[in-house]
Amino acid sequence: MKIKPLLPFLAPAACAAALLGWRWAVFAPEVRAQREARRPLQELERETLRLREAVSEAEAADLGRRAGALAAALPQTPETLAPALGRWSRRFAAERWEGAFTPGAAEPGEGWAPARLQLRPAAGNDRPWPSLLVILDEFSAPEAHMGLTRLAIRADEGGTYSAEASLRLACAVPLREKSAQ
Amino acid sequence: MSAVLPFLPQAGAGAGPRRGPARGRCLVLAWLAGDFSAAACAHGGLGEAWSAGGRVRALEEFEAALDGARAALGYNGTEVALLLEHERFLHRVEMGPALAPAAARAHLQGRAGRHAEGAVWSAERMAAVRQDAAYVLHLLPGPFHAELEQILRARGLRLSRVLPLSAALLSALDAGEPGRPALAAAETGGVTTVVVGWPGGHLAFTRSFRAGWEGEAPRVSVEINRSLLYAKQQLGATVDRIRLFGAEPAIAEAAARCGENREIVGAPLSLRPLLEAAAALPVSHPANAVGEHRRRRGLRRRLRLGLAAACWALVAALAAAAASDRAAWRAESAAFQGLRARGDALRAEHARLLLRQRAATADRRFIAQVEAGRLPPVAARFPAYVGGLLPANLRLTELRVEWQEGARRWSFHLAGVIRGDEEGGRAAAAALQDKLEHGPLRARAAEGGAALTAQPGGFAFNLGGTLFEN
Repeated sequence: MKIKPLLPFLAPAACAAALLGWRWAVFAPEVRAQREARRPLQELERETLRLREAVSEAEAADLGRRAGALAAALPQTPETLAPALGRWSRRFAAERWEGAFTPGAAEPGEGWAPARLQLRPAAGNDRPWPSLLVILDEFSAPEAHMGLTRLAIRADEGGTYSAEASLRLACAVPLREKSAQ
Repeated sequence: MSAVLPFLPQAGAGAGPRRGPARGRCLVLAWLAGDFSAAACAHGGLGEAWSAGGRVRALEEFEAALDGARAALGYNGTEVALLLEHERFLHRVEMGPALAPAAARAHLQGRAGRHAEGAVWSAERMAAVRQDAAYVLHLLPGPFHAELEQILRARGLRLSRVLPLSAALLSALDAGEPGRPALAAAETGGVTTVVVGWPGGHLAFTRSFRAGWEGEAPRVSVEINRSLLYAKQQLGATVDRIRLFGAEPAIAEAAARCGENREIVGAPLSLRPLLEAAAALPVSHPANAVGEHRRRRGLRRRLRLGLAAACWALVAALAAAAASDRAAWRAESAAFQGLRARGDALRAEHARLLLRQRAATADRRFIAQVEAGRLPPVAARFPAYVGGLLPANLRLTELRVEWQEGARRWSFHLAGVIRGDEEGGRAAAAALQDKLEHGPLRARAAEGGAALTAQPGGFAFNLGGTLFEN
């Protein structure tokens, strides 16, 4: 068989085979291996970019500030409700009502501490109903951070009011712990 | 076998080979049954002829004669035309059905393919009346053609035309009345070639027979006469012009036998007019045994060149793609080097951002939990709302509202005293119930609705139900 007439085709075929061979046998495996080795750092870069875009610095700062302020305004634990309850008692007194809190037993890890409240008008409270409504209105304010779950108001024949309420107060520490999980 | 598809003229006397002077320089060789002559042609004019001294029969002798001619004529061109009459250059008449040109070529290819050695061939269509189509096949055996080409190639020459004697004789019939056939006959090396055709080079038929004009003059005249009769029979026209090139005895004999009412011109065979005729015939002449072969070979060469160019273009494309990929990879690697250089800073930033993300998520969850855990102020606002709905004759003694965590709904209970008669009491209770049910709290009273119980001075009143469910 004569080779010479085939040379114009054999030569480019050989070149093409060499190029393809280099591409498939040398270049592509090398690229694959290098890319595999580089992947962790590249993924780290992508993840960093994602994190950078997920929450802006300003947004994170704002959230931290709001959460901090909220935590500062709340009782820290169910065991340390006294200061908050004391503030409420003083507020009742200002409206000429007498309140007695009975803290309930909070479940472990629960962020809301239950408490019962007995209210009765102080001596000389000649406007018990409007002042009670003022107190109840303050319970419903957002900054109160409490949930009023039960309310019972009674009035006897003589027009004397008494009220009983069940409420729950947000506690910063367990709620933050739950949020961090 | 060298497959050659000949140029076939259209059938009929009006469609013959195109004639015209050969362009450029050309060495015209006449190798006719051992006689070898040559002349150089330049710009349509033929120079002086050169003849070999002795007989030239074998290819080795042809080779020597060729060298002698080139030396004598000083020819240094490349094109060679060969007027050939040789025992290996065969001419065969083929009859067949009238076919389209492509089908006719295939038919003739099959016929030529029967040649044992494989032949380079051409075919001239002859005018025929009774047969559907008649061709004269000019067959140049493959090995003979290859040797000829090799001899010429070794000297830097290209064989562009191999023409039979009949083609040159036919061109000698140019002069004359158009539309009237003429006959030409010549003897070369004891073989007589007869051709009948029309001025303009259109072939009616050609034949050859072995007969010398010196010793077999009567037979030559008989065969010429038979050709005339055949022409009359086949063409329906009388051939009245005869050109005879050869020895005097045969010319005289033919004139005696066929000369009545015919114009007969006889002369010794001179190679120069034949050389001129061969020089004037174009490469595309249908009798050219190698014209189509060369054209096909040139086409194949161009195809091969095109294919090779395409292959190299493919290689170039692959190389460009490889270079592009490599450049892209280098750029990617350079970018990665930059990334690697700031790897520590990146890790630190990632850790910081991760902490920031976790802190933000925790803060967001914390705020959301505090918001979600704080119930809507239903219980705190319900007393004021109900107080605004009470009719004047109804006084509440108990108000209860409670969030039922399991059912996730609010329930309420109202108790009181209604003064007045029963009808008024029921109307007051119904009015209160209606306001609660159609008010913003969308209360739904328990089954039975408000209950009234008589007591001294009025009626005890009880109403319970749920909120936000109506």
